Amino acid sequence: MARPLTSLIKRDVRLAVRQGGSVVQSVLFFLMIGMIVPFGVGADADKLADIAPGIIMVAALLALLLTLDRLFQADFEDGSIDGLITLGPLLELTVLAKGVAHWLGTGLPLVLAAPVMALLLNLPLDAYPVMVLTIILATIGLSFIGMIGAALTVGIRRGGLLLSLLVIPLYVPIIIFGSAAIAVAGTGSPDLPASLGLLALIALGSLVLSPFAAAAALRLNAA
Amino acid sequence: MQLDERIDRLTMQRYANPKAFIAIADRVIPWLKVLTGLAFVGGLYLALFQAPADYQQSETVRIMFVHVPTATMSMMVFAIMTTSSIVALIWGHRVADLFARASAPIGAAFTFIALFSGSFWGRPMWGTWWEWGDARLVSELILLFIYFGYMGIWQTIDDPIKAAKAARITAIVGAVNLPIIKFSVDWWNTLHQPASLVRMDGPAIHESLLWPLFAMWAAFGLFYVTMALIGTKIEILRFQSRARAMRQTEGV
Amino acid sequence: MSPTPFPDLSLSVDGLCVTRGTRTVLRDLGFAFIGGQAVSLTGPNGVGKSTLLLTLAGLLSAEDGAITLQIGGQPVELAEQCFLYGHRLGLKPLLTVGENLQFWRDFAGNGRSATVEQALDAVALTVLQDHSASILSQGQQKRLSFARALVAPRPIWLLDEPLASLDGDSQERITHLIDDHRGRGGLALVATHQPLPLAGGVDLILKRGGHS
Repeated sequence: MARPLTSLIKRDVRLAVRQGGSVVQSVLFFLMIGMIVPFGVGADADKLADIAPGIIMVAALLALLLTLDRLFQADFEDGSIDGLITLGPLLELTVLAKGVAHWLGTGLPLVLAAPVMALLLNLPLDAYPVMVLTIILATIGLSFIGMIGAALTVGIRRGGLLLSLLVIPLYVPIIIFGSAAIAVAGTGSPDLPASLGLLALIALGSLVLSPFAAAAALRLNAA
Repeated sequence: MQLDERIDRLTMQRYANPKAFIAIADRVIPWLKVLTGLAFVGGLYLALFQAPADYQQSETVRIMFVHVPTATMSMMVFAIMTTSSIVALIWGHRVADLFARASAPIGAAFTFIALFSGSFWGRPMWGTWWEWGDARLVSELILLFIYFGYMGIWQTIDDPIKAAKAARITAIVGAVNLPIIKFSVDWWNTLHQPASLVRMDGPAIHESLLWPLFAMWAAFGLFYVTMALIGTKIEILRFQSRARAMRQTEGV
Repeated sequence: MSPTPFPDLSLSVDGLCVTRGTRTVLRDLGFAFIGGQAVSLTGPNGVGKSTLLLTLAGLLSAEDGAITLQIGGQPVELAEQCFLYGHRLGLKPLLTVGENLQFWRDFAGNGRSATVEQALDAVALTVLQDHSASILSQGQQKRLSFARALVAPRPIWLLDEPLASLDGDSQERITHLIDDHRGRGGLALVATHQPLPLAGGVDLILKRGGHS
């Protein structure tokens, strides 16, 4: 039962690695936001440290958003989706596996790049552990909620724009709780467990519920 | 001939009988138009002339009679849209899809009016045209984008049947997320703002303000129903004429 | 390849109506087939051959009509028992020939699955096993895509023009595989412009509205 799903995850990760370019590009895009922001707001170290949590979250959101329209597109273009739907296990599970693979290919690299970002933006060192945890949870939520938009807009020309419109309002809670967590990290504030807890709840909820909506959307776009 | 009739009847059933809907709508709409007009006249009269000006906020409090009803309606229309979508999802009634489609622009308009009037109402208090500290207003802004997303689905997907199915999912997903978004915005505000924030509708609404408020609520509500029925009828006719045109291309 | 035959199979369709967009493509279509048959599905372009195959595979939903599949006397969900082969081949250019098949074997295989080597041998692509799928010719890609049927065996094959763009040898090979399949009790519905060169084949001719 797990074999079909793990084989799909392996395949997608292998494709992402062989693709190579797009993973690197999305990490670079993420870091480039960290590079360009100071040019916009000034080099004041304290000010940067203040806005760092928010910028990191928004940069992660944007970097991940840009990869979403490819999530199902490739399978649609070459016809693999027909096999995934008809030959595979329950479509909801298949979609879950696609989401996991997407996170491994996109979210995980961002987690690894986040400390570099934090360095550029002068985030205090003792906030790093919380930041990494936050990015992990946030990117899970971003991947899985984004998956719904990707499934709804697959095959639409310039679908990326509609995808962003659909999905960004849904991302608001992740940005709110994520930035809050990073911002109060290391201060012992009770907002920390609260925001992390809520973020984890969103990540878990999206993991469990998104496959239903995404599978439904894929079925109607399949033929 | 018999076969064609059977096909027609089949597709009609999936529409939950649009003919009946149009027939009923046609009879009801003229009355609704009259009622809406009366409600607006009555409501505006009460709002502008009968309700006392608030000593604190003076005449600008009258904006409340537009802001509060439209804000509430913006949420209610979304709820109705979602219910329609669920009905469409379960029973496959196309009319329900089209009703949701027709409702969306009206709801979006209400949201926009609520934002606009809210901005005007708040300005004397805030000193600015926009205040991120007002959680309700911020939620309205997000709601506006959710409406746009829903309308974008109908707009961008070519096949109307696929668009309908995608729209159902979009509405339901939006509805599920809306409470979460509102909660998070509220939570966000308590982080960044001091606790003592003047709420827009004041600590309590005086009795004499209630009647004009109800009247305006009724007016906007009737306005929605009227426009939604008209809009749905237009959508049904558009759908049918396209189906007819497509059938004519068969066998050529 | 596994010699175990497929158990008793019967597929019947009654009053099937399928619309695409607002166009009614299939009206009141009915037929019944049993395992061991190879059906040539013919008809003019646009009459609904592909639509029928997609509907049976479960990718399109029917407006009306009953589709019943019985295996070994028990009613069974049709979509899970179908292998669909069509114009879009379902191959990943970044994977090798072998990796492509291995994926489908892992993802959708079962006890009857041939090994990747056996499947490649059956379509004469063994030599290219470790080559990237992106360098294959059109005909070779079609053969590779067809080989998926061997690593992900299903009792019912829904094939949309499997012989088009193939050279004589390959056509023979594919035809032979279809023959094998029905010999084991499987059912094959083959949409095709040229009738299948198979003894004892059955014809299903679609005309606009109904069938013949």
